[in-house]
Amino acid sequence: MRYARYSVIVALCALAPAMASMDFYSYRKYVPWNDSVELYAKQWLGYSQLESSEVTVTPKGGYLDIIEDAWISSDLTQLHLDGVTNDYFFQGSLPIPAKAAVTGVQTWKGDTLFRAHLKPASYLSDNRYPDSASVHQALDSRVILFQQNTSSGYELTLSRLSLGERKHVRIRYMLPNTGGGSASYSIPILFNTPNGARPRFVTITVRADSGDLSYNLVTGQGEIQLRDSSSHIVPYQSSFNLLYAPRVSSTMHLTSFNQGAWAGTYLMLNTALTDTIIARLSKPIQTVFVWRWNSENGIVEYDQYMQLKGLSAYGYQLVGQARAIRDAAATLARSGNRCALIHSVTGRSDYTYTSPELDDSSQARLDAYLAQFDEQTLYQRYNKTGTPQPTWVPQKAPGVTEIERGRTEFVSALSRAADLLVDTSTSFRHTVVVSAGGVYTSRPKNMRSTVDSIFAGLTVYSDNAQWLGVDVGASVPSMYEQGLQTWAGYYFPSFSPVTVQLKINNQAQPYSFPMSGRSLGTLAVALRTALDWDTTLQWIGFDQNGVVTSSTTESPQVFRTPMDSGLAKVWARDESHVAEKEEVYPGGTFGIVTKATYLQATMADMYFDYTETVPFLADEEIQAPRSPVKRPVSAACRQTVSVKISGAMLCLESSHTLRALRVFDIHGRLVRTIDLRKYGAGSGSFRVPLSAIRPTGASSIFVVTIEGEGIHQSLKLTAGGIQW
Amino acid sequence: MVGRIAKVLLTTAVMALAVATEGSAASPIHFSVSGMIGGTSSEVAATGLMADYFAPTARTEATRSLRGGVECEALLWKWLGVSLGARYQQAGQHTRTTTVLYADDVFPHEFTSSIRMDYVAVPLCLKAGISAKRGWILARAGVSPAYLLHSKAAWTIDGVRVEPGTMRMPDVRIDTYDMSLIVGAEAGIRLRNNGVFALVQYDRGVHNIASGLSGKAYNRSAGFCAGYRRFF
Repeated sequence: MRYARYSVIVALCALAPAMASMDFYSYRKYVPWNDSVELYAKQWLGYSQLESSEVTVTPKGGYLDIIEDAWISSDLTQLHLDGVTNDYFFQGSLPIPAKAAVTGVQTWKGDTLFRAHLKPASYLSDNRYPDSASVHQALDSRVILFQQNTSSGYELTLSRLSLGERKHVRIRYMLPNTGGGSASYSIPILFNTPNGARPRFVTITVRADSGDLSYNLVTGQGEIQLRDSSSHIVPYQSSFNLLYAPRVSSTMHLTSFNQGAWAGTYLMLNTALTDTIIARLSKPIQTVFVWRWNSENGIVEYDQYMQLKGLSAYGYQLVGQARAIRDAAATLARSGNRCALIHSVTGRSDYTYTSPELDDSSQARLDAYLAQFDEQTLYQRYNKTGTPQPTWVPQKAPGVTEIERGRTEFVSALSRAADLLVDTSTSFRHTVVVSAGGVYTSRPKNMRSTVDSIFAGLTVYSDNAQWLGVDVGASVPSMYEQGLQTWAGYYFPSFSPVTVQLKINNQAQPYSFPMSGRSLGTLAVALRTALDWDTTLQWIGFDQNGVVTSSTTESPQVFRTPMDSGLAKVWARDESHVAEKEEVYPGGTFGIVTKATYLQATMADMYFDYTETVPFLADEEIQAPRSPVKRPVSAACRQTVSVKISGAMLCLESSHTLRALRVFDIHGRLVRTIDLRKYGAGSGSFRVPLSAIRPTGASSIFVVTIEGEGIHQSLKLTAGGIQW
Repeated sequence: MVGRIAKVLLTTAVMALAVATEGSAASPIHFSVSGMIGGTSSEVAATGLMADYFAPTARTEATRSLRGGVECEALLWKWLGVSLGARYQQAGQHTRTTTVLYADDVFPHEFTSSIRMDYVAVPLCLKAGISAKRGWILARAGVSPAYLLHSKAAWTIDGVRVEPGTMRMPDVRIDTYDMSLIVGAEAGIRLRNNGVFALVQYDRGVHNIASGLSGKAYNRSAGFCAGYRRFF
């Protein structure tokens, strides 16, 4: 039971980072039950309350530069605790968006600014301390402590607080566009705590312009278009969205640096495989869907146990097929292809629905007709048709007359489909036969010759269709026989590319991104190369055999900013970036928080001059962490000489070559130089008589320096021996 | 309804017996006992899903079977009498082999069904007609409560017996009791104290005999018997 409780606590702790909670802590003196030594352990005192929040967003093109100012205070929940020290701090997780590059954190204590510096990550424990001095010392080093613990978990500690203090903290991060050219950013209020009160309003400032960087601000109150820099005070919400206003499918954000560790040409590419691209890579096709209902009964069933009426499995099959045909037709129409519908119901000699002709409006009419076959409409239409019989009731098998009528309806429907596909100017003319419900399988007829005569020069696909009196599987040519390929849930001629390749040219080499032509999607990738990029995107379509079907080019919206450090940081933060030369320490090199780096401000990191120039970033940047450059260091090797006095001899032993001894008196005067080559006593060993070292008449104290290859070592000789 | 009819018939019989007893000197009661055997054609009239259970296809036919029993008669006057008997009879119907489909199965199947119910009935009848020295012709009407001895429902699909309570055969419970209204006629020839007679009778069930599905089911049967009667 106890372990079960712990497991629940552990599970809640595992979920906690996603909830973005900042709590209020102190340290409390206690004595462990199995010990008598006092310890100071972390003590939860309450929640944090976000009192005010301001978010400043500077769109840059491929990313947003976001600065969030928050004023937080403590909600003291734990009262009347003994032994609590006066050391208070906030600690909790922040919902930093995925792929966002955090570049700095700073806070204020009165008018004093504390700015965090980037440091290599180390394991820091703040759970308990042996005495109050250690607590003070630890919190002095955690005025700001911001670290990334997991791929998405960030923890912030703000110490040196007073009770009730309104703490001002500022955090800055770069938020890249992870979608297509029509960027959509979701910007969270980082200090939105699940517990505690929240401010009534949040101030959102967006430095947009009326040109390339115009955005739509989407809040809970609606959407407004931003054409200039402006501040918006909106009722508080946990996040808001910024949508890129210009309707473009692709954007390229370019920058370059000529020198330094970040030298190279950076590209942030955001694009999408759209219907327009697919249409340009496809060949025109006309399609007629033949939808057959094999029964008009059993659409609504009565559950005797539940005493409820509802759609049967057959009814749901009808609904699903209507939706699938609508989706396929809509996808075809988006690519500029026409499609029509024939709806045939068993026992009805006329069509329930047929498109009058195959034209530009036939898809809209098809869509309107199929839209009525939803669950609610079907139920209402067939609810009054009598109580459906249970499945155990035998049904009368159709006779010869009904079977012959079914065959006639089959030929009639296919002939009508062929009549609609009369435009021979299109590359492909296709019919899809879809049926719902089973049919009496006795005496099915192979009508292949009839079907071949109807569909001469056309293609037809049967989606496992069944038709009374007809062996549809044998009557309709197989998809392999006709070379059909899967598309939108059915089989079609190869009119659309199976694979689409996006190619971007660099001066060094082209870069290619294969994508599936069957599913539209976006592509966001950050690249760094030594040479410049071409600003034209090339799309190439391939069929199922890998043969090029068609190609087209696209000119994306280009943002070109010289020496844009933010883009370099975004590139460095993206673990999936593309690089000619990979970075092993991107956090330190590019000044961003990663799992290998963290931001820390101690009591010594005070700033009174706000205009201090910061390297790498522009002056208005709040933080320019200069990372310690990690250089490879050789293993430490202390070059020592073994010295001892044996009898009247000074014995020296070293693995390095020793050359000479220099003897100084206590006034620092050189009184003698001894060439050690005369006193060699084996490999690396020398035996020097003390009489040769000690000058005649010298005092009892003198200094000897041993010199050799990489050796410069001193020792003091006294009457009593050696002193180093 | 059935109870009321039975009550009326019993009351009528008792009153007739009392009148006959009162005037027994002028009109003595003539008792007789008869045994009879014959055949019957029965079917089940049902509604709702019960109709699908007892007649799953259009090729459902009546069941023909034996019936027989004994009957005691008291002739109060020459034109009026009452009788009480005990009779074994069968009821039910069956379906000839039929090719059928199921809503969830596109393959055809050969289907047969039969249901048989064995009853012991106790018919109580009021008789009226002509009774002469050499013979009689009487019409009868009455009620026939019956007790179910045994019932058996058998469905086969493609020659395989289907168990009740499965997806192809529902589980229907046959009631232990039944009640029918009787109308019929008999004609006999008397030779001293012995007589032979022929009887035709139609039984119309008024009690729902089955439960487990929606709808109701009633027995229907028409029979012919020949019998021997001993007069006392």
